[in-house]
Amino acid sequence: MNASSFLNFDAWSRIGGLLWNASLETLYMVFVSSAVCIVVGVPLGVILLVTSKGYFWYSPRFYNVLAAVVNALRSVPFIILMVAIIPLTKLIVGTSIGTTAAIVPLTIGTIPFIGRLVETSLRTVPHGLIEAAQSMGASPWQIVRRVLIPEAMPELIQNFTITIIVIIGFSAMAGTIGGGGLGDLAIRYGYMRFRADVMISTVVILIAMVQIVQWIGDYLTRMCDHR
Amino acid sequence: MIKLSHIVKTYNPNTPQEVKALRDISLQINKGEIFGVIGLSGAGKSTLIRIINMLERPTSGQVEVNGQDLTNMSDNELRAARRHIGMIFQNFNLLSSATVRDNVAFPLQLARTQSKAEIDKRVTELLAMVELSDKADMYPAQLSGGQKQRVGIARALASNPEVLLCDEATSALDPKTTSSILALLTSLRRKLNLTIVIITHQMEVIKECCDRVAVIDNGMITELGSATEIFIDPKQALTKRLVSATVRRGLPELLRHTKVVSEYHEGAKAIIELLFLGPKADAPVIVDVAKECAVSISILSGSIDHIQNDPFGIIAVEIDGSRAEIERAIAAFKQRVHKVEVLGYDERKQLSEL
Ligand SMILES: Nc1ncnc2c1ncn2[C@@H]1O[C@H](COP(=O)(O)OP(=O)(O)OP(=O)(O)O)[C@@H](O)[C@H]1O
Ligand SMILES: [Mg+2]
Repeated sequence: MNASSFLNFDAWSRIGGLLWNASLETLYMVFVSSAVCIVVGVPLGVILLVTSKGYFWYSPRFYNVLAAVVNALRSVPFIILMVAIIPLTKLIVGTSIGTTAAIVPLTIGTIPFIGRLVETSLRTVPHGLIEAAQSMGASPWQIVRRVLIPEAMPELIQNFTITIIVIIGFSAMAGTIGGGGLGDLAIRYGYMRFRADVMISTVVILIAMVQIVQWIGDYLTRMCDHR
Repeated sequence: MIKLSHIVKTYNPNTPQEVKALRDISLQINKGEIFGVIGLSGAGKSTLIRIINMLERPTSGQVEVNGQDLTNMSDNELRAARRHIGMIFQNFNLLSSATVRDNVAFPLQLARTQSKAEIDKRVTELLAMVELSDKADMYPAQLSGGQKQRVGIARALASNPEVLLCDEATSALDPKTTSSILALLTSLRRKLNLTIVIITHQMEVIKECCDRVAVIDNGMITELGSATEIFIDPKQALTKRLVSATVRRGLPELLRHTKVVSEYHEGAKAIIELLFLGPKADAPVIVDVAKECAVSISILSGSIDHIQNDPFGIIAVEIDGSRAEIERAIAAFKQRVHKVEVLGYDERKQLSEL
């Protein structure tokens, strides 16, 4: 490539189209994975919390087994997990290539992470509040829904923000095994075809995405923090 | 109203960390009474109050509230029973994510027995009762400690409980706010015919509002009686120590450097402590006795205080006269005041004679 290619309108509109499509693919992967992660991760975090010592369904054996599984999954590097679960991915979506296929490792790789973050967020709720709710006749489910989750909301949103940002990073990595999205584009054009302009553009878009997520997260945290 | 029989609570039984928090506590608290439990840190006060609503299950013994045995209830029955037992806490334990209004509505929403309109109406009523109507839409972080505790009280009373448990409810508040919260509790007791249990380590709290008091030490009740009895006539060393923190007894400060002997001898003056109680506390007793017995009486120290609303005073005086005169004066005092105690005899000259 040379400097004149920057002035070539046709080339730019073609690259623009590629970047646009890749961005949409990334957003799709990130959005679906984040949603699944939160939907599964919150109950996982709740279960980790309420079965731990000092909470109402304390069960050391259950907690230890679950915590061990979560830790084991968390310590597998994402890139290895991605490859290792290809058979599972094929089973679920029928293929191991493409954006939808990338959602499987993204989700499985991030659920243990978010589960732990949810657990620690909920743990910040003072024990006295649980006790007060119990003294008013609250059931365990009411305590989770009406005390723990609302009271930990600022922490939860912060941690969801972190998780989504991690998923954005992982989704770019998923591109390396044909997952599509900005990572895929950066590898195929930026790296293999030495297109620095494509490479730089993808990086800029990723940075912008992370920044926007962070802003939204900070804003929502401020909105629901009344402490 | 509340009956505890042979309550034992042992934490971590049969382990090296075993703690015998309560050892065989039996206690009966009457309807409409404000009952105080006082003791030092770690005595087992919180454990005791948490056993009354089964936040903590006793190792053995029986808890009866309002005729119901709580000890053998299922979780579901217990949750229903707890709606009749309100509780307030030292650090308020309000939901920081909910407004004052929503905090007070919380127990009613949990119970799911009333419509939204009914709950709104009740909350408005409760906020008026604790004088916080203007703070309804604020968050707890925007309130002072006293206001937070008022929210706690409104929340605890939302479902019309018969019993209110207060675990160190005023320990985080300054003396003036403490008094206003205690005054609120006292007036609510009358208005709602509440039975109130107050756990505290501040004797002031007992003095201001309790009818009866149990002193708890090392998991056992060491003394139990009316607030007046405990203040006027403490028996155990711990009770005396607790009482002396708010009511100074014994030889007055003025005589610190004076030699005080326990036997009368010629020319000595008697040092006497007079204990006034009830409506007689403001009668002109000292002047009367001085006139009647022709002795000179000088006041060394004195204070008039209140237990609940009853005035009670402690005055130390010195009586100068012959042995017979002094004895006559003491007898005359005994007829007029609640209690007379001879603290000793002193050979000091009057300050003016020095
Ligand atoms: N959950 C628990 N596990 C083990 N030991 C406990 C537990 N709760 C209380 N204890 C112990 O039981 C004893 C009584 O504690 P409790 O909290 O009832 O005291 P307290 O009179 O309320 O003291 P304070 O005035 O400091 O609040 C203490 O020795 C305490 O260490
Ligand atoms: Mg305590």
